[in-house]
Amino acid sequence: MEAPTDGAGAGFGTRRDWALPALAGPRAVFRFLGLRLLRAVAIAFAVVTIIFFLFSLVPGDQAAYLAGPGSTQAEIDNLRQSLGLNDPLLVQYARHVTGLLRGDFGTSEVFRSDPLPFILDRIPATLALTGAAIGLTILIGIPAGLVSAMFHTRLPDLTISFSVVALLAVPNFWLGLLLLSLFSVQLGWLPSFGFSGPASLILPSLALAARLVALVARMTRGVTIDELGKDYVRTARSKGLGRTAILMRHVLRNVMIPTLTVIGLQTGYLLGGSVVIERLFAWPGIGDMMINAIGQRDYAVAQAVTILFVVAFLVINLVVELLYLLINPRMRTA
Amino acid sequence: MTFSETDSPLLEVRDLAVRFDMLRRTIHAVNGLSFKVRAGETFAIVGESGCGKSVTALALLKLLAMPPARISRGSVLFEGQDLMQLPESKLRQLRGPAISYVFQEPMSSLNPSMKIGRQIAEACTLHYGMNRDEALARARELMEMVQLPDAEERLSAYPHQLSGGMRQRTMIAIALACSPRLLVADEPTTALDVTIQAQILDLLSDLQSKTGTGMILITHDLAVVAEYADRMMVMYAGCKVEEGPVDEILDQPRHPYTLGLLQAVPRLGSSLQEGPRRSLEEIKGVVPILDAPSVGCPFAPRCSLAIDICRREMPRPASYGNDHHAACFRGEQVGASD
Ligand SMILES: Nc1ncnc2c1ncn2[C@@H]1O[C@H](COP(=O)(O)OP(=O)(O)O)[C@@H](O)[C@H]1O
Ligand SMILES: [Mg+2]
Repeated sequence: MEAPTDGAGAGFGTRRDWALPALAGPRAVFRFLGLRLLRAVAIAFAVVTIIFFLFSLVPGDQAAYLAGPGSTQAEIDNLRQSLGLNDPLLVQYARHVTGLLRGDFGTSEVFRSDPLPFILDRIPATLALTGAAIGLTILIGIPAGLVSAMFHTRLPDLTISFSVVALLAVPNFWLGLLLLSLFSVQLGWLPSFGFSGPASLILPSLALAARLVALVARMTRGVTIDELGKDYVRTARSKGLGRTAILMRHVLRNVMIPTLTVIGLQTGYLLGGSVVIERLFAWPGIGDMMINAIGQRDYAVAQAVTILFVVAFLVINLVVELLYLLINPRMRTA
Repeated sequence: MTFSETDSPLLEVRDLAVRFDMLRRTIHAVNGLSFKVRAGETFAIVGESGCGKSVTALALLKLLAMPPARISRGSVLFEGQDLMQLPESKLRQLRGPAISYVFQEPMSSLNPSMKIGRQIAEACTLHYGMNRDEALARARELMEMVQLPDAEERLSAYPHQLSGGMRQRTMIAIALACSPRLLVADEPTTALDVTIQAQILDLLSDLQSKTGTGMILITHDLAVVAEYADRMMVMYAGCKVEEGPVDEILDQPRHPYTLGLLQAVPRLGSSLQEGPRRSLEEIKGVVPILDAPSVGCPFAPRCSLAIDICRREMPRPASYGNDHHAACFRGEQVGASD
């Protein structure tokens, strides 16, 4: 039988310290969250540093690229000087970090300005896509897992378990391609790219959510089977409750606590997956923007988007931890 | 309490057999068990761990997970109605109002994420069609009955916020919610602190005499049996080896296994300090693996009185008067050398 954390992906199974505030009152919970916040800030700083130095290692001359093919050496040198690329790396780094603290993401050479408004402009599309993917995960993954557990080792379970393995084996960009060629190209039912109303959300969010749906279905199944074997289920049966009532009133709650937590934590990973999917469906979100920026060596934008992703990831995790404390009665004190 | 022989029993189990179908083998957990429980009495089931007490209790209302469990034969007559023939929907109506349970592990037997008020009230909503407020009022009443302090506050407490004793009181409140005619308490105090054990048992017997419910008290503690039970049954390897009034059996056991159990506890009333564990006689040998029904007496391999016939033939219950039976060929010799 799967362990409850099986399929949870990176990050969850190792979080033994989650039980930390169980014994103590609200003060310990606040201290716990305070520490988490500090940790998130430290991680954000470390990531900013790593990304900066990684980008500085990218081969090729950024100035030459930005100046364009026909430019003279003098023009390139001038550009390099004005971008500050001749300064020592540490000086550039200090400038970068202080800039970020002021909300200054540098100058995009493509937009010829501060990239932030352009990025903010694209955030709603990415939010819509990930939001829809989460919605699909909750609406498909959890019920599929519950049905699987209720019909343990019978046909519905076997069907669902097979689909889970199939979905996990398929990379999501490939699934996206399949969906595209079937529903857009061959059948012509759904739009193939861009953002044009809710219908255009269906294919990309399906492609993005597929993996998570499978993971959540598998995890829900495992947790539910575990829970169904517990003593409190026997107590519920001894009261005269039927199978469905036991599942919905007693078991579901205990299944939802770890499952929603895992979905929350996986949201960060969805962001990563959205980069590829947005590209594939020409979805006007920040993932698509980042790939464009990298193609055009617009490091300011690429860096800004990467940092945004990381910060979003950390914030989501923090919020999920907070929610976990709220939905788990063990974390509440009398 | 006294009962006449003609009282029709509240519960009558006849020739009950329960199997567990495992991958490679079948476990014969209960083998042809018969006993009766009368209305209002306390009937104790005693035996070493693994002898089939819990399986018997759960089989009464088909609370075992089936599969792997299977009731291979027998009947369970409750107020004259054979529960084994009833469909699940009918059994559900009996779970709670007819027979209810108090389990061994109060912590894991309560839902960790549901307020205890709701857990107590739930059966009333289900069986009496009470609305939320009525059911919560009933829960408050039940909590007072089981002497849970601060009922009003505790209604919205979660199980982890209660002590072990309070959790077991909560379990008892749940079990009494629909005023059952038979209460099955499966080692209700084994998981509790020694100091709490007597309180819980006193509460149970107090509530029982107030409500007149019958009780099956499962335990491996003969001191508990002596204090709280009217009649008792001793089980070994899924079989009944002896049954009868508690006083009589404790005074003059007619099965070597019962005698062994008696000799393995400190003398009733003597303190543990004067007789440390080594002065107790343990029963030698181990409980048999229940892979196959035994041919002779299941206890024969461990029995000092065993003779040839014990290994060849299953002894039939012999009567020792006043409703006292023991399934032993050599019942007359038991304890004779004492
Ligand atoms: N779910 C199960 N699966 C397989 N075997 C079981 C199961 N439950 C109980 N048994 C077997 O049934 C026998 C009786 O168990 P039980 O009634 O729990 O003993 P006890 O007298 O300690 O309550 C044991 O030998 C045990 O191995
Ligand atoms: Mg038991």
